[in-house]
Amino acid sequence: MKCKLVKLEQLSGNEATLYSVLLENEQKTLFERFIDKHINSFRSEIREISGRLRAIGTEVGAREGWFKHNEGAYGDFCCALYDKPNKKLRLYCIRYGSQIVVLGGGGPKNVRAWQDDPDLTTEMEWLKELAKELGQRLEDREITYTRDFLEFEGDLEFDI
Amino acid sequence: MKKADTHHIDILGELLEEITPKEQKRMENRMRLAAKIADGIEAKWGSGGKGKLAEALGLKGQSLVTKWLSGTNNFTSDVLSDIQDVLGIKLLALEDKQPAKEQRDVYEKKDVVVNIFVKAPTALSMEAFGSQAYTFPLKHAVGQSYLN
Repeated sequence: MKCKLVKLEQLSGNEATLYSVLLENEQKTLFERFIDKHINSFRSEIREISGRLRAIGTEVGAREGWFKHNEGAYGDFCCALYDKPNKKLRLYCIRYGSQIVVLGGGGPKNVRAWQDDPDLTTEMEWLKELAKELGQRLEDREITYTRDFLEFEGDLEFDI
Repeated sequence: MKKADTHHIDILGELLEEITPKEQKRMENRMRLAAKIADGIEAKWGSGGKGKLAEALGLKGQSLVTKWLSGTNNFTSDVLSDIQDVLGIKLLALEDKQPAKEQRDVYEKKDVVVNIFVKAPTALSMEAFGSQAYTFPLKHAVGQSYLN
């Protein structure tokens, strides 16, 4: 499946750039599809997450503490964002330092681990594949960081 | 080198517009406070200091510290007081021992009011009763000022 990273202009700022993924022949990013799918059941949570993402981009950066880590494979930077730790909704992301976050999909986590939920497993496994490919391109310098470390440069189209 | 295309999400715009400036500021401040605590932990113990903060505060595990650092927690002043004492950082700005200038002005004006309504009538009452010692009830003393 072909896809590309796009920069979310409403959330990005001087502290961090927030990307999401646009699949080929789709108009909506994974993050937008996440909103559409869960807005009716989790409006306040999604609203809170959106506000936090804006704060990350424009005010406070993508600090480690804001995210739940060790969601993917070791070193792939996959993590989850939530509105409050005791709430169920998870938005899966890939975090590159405190300046870049790639937003994927997610959903309510009513199980102990995401692997126990088929929908979450699909979302997370796909994101892990993207993280692996992105990581490889960073290693091969096909993708680099801008001088301020706020953005990626290079070939941002993938076939996952 | 090529950068990513920018993308606009309509429904995200609607959601962000729903958040009032006060709500957004609160979110940011919760995150800033958490960031300050995280920096304090890092400065004191280096990475992996969450457990040491938990231990210093007598907590059973470090899950509460993780919650504090998530930027979602609404702290009480007692918790902030305990954390700042352990980390040796300022989380509560209470260093001003003197009242602010505006407050001092108000206090000074209150003193003037007290002089007019309490002290002056008391002096008058003492004159009225000569050298006799007399304990004048406060409410009568205040009342006298209106009579004069």
